[in-house]
Amino acid sequence: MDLAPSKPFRITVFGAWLAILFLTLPFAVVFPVSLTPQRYLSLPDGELSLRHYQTLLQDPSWILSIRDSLIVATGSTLVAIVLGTMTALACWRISSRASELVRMAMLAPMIVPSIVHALGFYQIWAQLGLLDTYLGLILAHAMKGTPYVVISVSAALANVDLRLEQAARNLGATALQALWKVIIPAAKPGMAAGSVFAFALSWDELVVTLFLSSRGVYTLPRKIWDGIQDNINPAIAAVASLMIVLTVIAMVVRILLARRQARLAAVPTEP
Amino acid sequence: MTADMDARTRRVYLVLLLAPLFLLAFLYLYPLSRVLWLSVTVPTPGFGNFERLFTSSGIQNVIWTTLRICVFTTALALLIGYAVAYAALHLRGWRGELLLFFVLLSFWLSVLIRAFAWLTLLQSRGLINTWLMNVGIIDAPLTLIRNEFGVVLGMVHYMIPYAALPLYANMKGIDTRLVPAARGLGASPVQAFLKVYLPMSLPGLISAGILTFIFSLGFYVTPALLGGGKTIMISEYIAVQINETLNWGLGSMLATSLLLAIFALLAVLSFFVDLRKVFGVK
Amino acid sequence: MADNVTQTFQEDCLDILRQQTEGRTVNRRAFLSTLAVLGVSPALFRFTPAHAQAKELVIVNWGGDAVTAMNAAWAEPFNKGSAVKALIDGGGPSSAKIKAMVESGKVTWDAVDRNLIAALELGRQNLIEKIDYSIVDKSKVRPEHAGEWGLGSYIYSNVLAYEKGAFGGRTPKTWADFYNLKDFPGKRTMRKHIDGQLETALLADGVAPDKLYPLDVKRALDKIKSIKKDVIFWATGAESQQVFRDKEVTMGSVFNTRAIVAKRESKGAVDFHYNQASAWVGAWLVPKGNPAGKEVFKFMASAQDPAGQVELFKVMGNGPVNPAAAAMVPADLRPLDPGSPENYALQIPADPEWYAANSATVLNQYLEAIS
Repeated sequence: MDLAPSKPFRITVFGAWLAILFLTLPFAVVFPVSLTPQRYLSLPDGELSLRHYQTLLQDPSWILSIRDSLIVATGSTLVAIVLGTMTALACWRISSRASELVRMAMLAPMIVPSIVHALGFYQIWAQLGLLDTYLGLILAHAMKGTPYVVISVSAALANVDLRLEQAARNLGATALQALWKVIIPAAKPGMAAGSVFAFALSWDELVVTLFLSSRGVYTLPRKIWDGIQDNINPAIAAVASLMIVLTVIAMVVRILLARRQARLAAVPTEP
Repeated sequence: MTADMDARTRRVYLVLLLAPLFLLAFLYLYPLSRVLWLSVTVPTPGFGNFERLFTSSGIQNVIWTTLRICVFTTALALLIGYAVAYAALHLRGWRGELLLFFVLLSFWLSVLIRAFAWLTLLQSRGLINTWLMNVGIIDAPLTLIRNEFGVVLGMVHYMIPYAALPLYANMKGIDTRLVPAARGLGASPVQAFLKVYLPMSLPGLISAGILTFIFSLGFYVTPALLGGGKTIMISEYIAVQINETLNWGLGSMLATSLLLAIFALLAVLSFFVDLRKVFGVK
Repeated sequence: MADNVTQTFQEDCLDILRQQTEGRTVNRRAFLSTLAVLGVSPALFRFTPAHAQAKELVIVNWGGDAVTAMNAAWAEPFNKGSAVKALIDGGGPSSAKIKAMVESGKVTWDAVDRNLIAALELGRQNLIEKIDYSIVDKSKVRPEHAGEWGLGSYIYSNVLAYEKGAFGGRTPKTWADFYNLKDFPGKRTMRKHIDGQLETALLADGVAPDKLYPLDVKRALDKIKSIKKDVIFWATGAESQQVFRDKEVTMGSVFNTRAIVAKRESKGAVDFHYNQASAWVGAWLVPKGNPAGKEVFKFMASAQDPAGQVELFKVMGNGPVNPAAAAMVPADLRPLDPGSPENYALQIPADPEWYAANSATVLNQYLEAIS
């Protein structure tokens, strides 16, 4: 789109960068806090210390809690992506009163406060023997994550023309092929956004986790919560800092790879 | 719309619909309904709990506070999220990607550490007040936190990515060739945006709005920490009933009411905008 | 969903599902070996994991330093002489989880660290076991600390803590000073829960300590409302100390355990006293149908030993509940002990009966008043 040089666009872009500044402002606190020599959350006062990074790398309970969080968050994201995308696609294509009701019902896990469904999960999970298991926590978190996927995928499909599918069919594709080759690619941005939500939701989830797990599965928010009676451990600042640094590295690698590919692609293959 | 679907296509999509629905019904709706059922059975059968909704000024206050904060949060998060999504999509090359990257980065900050960061920045001897006083812009510290302003600030911060990402996904599907066309016909950039682009992004805006609003209703820790303990939203109130007073009937009544209210809101909304459009059906 | 037939049918479905999946891992072999590399026990992916070992006692508290401290003070001494091993789990024994656990019939906890109010509330709902006084020794606690469903385990208090240098050399001595913003300027912090808070308002308003209970709720809430603009309400102990660290407040109504830490950390800049404080008692409760049965009372009896209680006090600041322990507290720490005869006499013990009967209603009124 060619609005780039216009003044309103430049104002919008300026606003967007201001928003980014606002979003990243807490980093200005989180990084220094991770270097505090104290055992409570605080800005370091002169002296810097790596003790909290040391804790993270040496204290098995932190490492295990990060591992459990990664397992649960990844598992529940996968389940939520599959369930949410299926629902959104079907509702998009079928498009009837009934599918509207389905979509409404799918929103329920978002609306109901965590503590209420924590109680509901507990009662059933106890019967199924799912308490304090990865599977139990993955399923519970997936139920909470699914609505976000439904919404994001629906939003992504909002501007996709239904005739697209018909066109693919007319060209000889089966219904499944059309779905796989044409519609799912169009839903991908929504699936990506939805998976980020589902992952973040599980990564930070405490209320349901406290109810459904005890010693077998011990996620990062539980480890953090464990200190809340005494002092919130600055190791959580170290975790956040490490995650941010790792994400930045991954991003840089990705950009470098993309550039290299672009360079390779630019080399003419035919004379 | 369904008429042009052959039996096989229909079957494929029906399976797509029924499989998740069955799982949701069994693993979510069934356990949930058992809890919500308590609202009319505990402590005594009947609608005694629901009466409280109309008779208890305390509960009404909690609801009013929740609504006020969520509406502000949603409006601000949408405005900011729209700008971010728009810029991320229309900036050329790496800049747009970088913008999006920063949005994603903020997901790694847990609720607790965010709240601590805001307190460190904004309290009366915090970094911002200290800096403002050193520079000489203000004489006495501003009250930036431990009030509703602080709560909304913290919540908007959390919600911006939740508004920006669905908007981004939606804008990606917009056929942008129409905008230069409108400009070619003599529309100013602002006119072209308002008349062409905005209406096309409206479904995304509404669904991001629904997402943001519903999500903000569930906030609990952020208001508790940034509101100085004086901002009590409905989720916290419900949690107190479940965890502390063991008044499960009252807690599940509020959860049931919340659920019904949102569904009613969506139903009313569907009179004014085509909800199917919002949820991605033409 | 209302009629029983449907419910039974659904329960039956659950049973069938459970039978069919019993013991079977849900995942393929390759996945399992990946898990092994990660060090994840595949059992946790299974339905119905192995049940808790019969030879253990699960003692549940609220986590953090209390896990290590209670382990050293109580679990280790007990485990030396017992085949059944006690272990401390910081899982957070909220009333809701106890109720859900007992109602589900899958109780995994043997004893929980709560207080005598919870003992009455949960006991009257038939959710916890009666204390077996043929195994634990009633004479090792004050009479008011031996409840039907709960046994006193340690003493803690809600005290007045203050920033020493904030009032030009004056020291706040009573709750009246706490509510006096003119002579003692600065913000206050109070707990976002009624326990011990309404008492501060009534004492400040001139109610005699022996006439405190039943609490005059309206009078107390009005008094609190009069200063709430200048109050930051804390939800966790960490928060109550943080506001002192950041110099956001000059006075607070906080736990004695937290005040002791704050005093130590600030090298005396933050101080506190037990005058007019509200004395509380932590208590062991046993969820109905606990897995280890009567064995748990042997652990409680062992935890009545004064030495362990003094150990816990040194680390955590929770005062020994056994009056015999007071003399064993080192002389320099005695002024900090809420259970010492001198300090205990200064305080007003909270009335569990009043709280058990009223706290559900009054907690909501309190939250409504401060918001």
